[in-house]
Amino acid sequence: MSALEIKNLSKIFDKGFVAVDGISFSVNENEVFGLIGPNGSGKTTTQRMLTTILSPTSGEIKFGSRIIATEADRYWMRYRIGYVPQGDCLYRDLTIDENLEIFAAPYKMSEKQKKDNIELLLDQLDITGRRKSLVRNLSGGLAKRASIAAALVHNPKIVFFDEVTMGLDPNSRYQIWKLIKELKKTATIVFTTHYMDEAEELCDRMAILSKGCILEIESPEKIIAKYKAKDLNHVLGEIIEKEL
Amino acid sequence: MKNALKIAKFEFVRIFRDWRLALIILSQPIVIGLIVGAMSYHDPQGVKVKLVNISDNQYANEFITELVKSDKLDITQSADYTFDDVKSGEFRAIIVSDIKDNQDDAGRITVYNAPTAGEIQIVVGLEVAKAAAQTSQSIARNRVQSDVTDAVAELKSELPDVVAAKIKTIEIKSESISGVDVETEYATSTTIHRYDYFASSMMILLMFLVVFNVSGTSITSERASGTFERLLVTPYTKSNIIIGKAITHFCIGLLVSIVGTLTMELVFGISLGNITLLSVLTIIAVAMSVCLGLLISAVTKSVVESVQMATYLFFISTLTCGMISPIENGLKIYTTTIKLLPFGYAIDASRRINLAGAGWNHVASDIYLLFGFFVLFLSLAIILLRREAR
Repeated sequence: MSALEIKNLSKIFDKGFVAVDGISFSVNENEVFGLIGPNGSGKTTTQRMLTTILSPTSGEIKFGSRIIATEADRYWMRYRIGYVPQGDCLYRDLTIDENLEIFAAPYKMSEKQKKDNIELLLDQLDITGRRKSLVRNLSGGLAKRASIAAALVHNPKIVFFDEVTMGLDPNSRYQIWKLIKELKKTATIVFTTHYMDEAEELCDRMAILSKGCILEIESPEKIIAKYKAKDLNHVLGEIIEKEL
Repeated sequence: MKNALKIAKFEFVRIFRDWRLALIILSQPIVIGLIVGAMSYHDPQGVKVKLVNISDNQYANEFITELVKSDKLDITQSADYTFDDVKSGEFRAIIVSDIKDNQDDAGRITVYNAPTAGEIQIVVGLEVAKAAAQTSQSIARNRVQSDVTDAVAELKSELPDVVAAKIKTIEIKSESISGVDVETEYATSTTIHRYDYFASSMMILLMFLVVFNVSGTSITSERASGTFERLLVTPYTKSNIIIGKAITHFCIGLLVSIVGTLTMELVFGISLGNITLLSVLTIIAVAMSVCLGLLISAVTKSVVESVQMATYLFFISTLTCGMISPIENGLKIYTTTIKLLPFGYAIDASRRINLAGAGWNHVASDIYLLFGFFVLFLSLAIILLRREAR
């Protein structure tokens, strides 16, 4: 069953710039789905529409069986999604604990359940020892793990990751990969990345976007085979060359 | 409401965890309150003026004698009639006395004010008026005396010598022609000083200064750091966010008002009116200004834009509150426009409560209007807050 279904989704900004041009795809439950493409291909705009940050100009977003059309639908959807932005985007003058408390607050869970979830996430992400540290004092990898915890504190059904490993050291990247693989057992994951090795490692399927359109939707292996390329880097290189 | 309180709690923690920011916020009412006190504690005194006497008669001398009694003026007599001393800033005014000993023309006193003198012009004018009133009394008495003496002499000349010898000189007693005393007093109190006038305005203006800056940049700074976008992906509603921030900033505004008022009261003994009424006014004025600040932050795109808008509003509030220049001095468009702004109502009501002892019935309309502005700004901030990123 599809966790997320997108039909003819478009986003045209005020000055007539078409960022996303009628794309359609679906994401299955417990699938890791990648949005891949060069800069300006529309992957971040797509993800922003799916996380209710941007309203689509046209098209349909279906979350489970519910079509997300009104502000009430978007409000309903916000209870069910988690979002890990590119930066850590946490309150830097608050501790990890305080950030988790503020991001857990609006969800309909008992205080005990919130506390249990926070304890579990801190443990899983191995940041329990730094829970009282201000975010501004954390390294990039620790801040990113805290950011992931803030997105998962309410057990979302779909988690969106936006270039989540950007700028991290290999060890931090590896830790996050492990987490995403673990998270896949309980949630659907949509993520964008510029690292093709990451996409190959994590994605069950992926959509390659260029100039706001989807060029391919398939598993990484099938896409590589189709382009008769060595790896995804070469596939993307070929696509960018064609664009130029 | 629970969600709003959560946002309020952590907004408060964030602001006051940074001790430097907390120090800057809380030191403003103390430092500015002290400066305002030091600046305006006394009524003007020792105002340097130059006195040029171009007549030489008893009345001109009497005027000078009266004028030099003034404890507010520091008079230097001179024959120099040029304005160079005013240009160099040595004197605030030149008083030119041309009082004549002439039945048909009593002469004139001209006060040439330095354009830089500001409200000192009023002090100089009043002191000159006092001395002139005393001199006029003397002139009037002498002229009546002269007329009476002439009339008696004429009468004597027409009477037989025996009878004329019995008519004595008639002397007009000084009490018979009383002069006019020129005094200015406050209508409601004799204990108000110039400082109170400034302090009553500054209590509100100081709070505007802090609140506009804190609230005005609150949302834009979060947009810049990315936390706001993240908050918008959660089920926090726009009203949760605005009300949450408003609660924290309201507490800060109130704290600033209390610290500022206490500083001015403890150090300089500011004149305070009905404390309950002043508290009601302050609470509503703080709430109104917080919501205006949040409205700025909701509609501006960047921190720089918000800071500019907050500063812009602070200057508008300062220039439309009547503290720097009386509202009556303005063009009709100015006096009409400021009725559409909330600032004048807050500051004018504060002055009337503290300086004129106004009660609820005197300031109720100002308080209701401020409450109306509060509701308007709060509603607009919630409605106009963009969920979407640009």
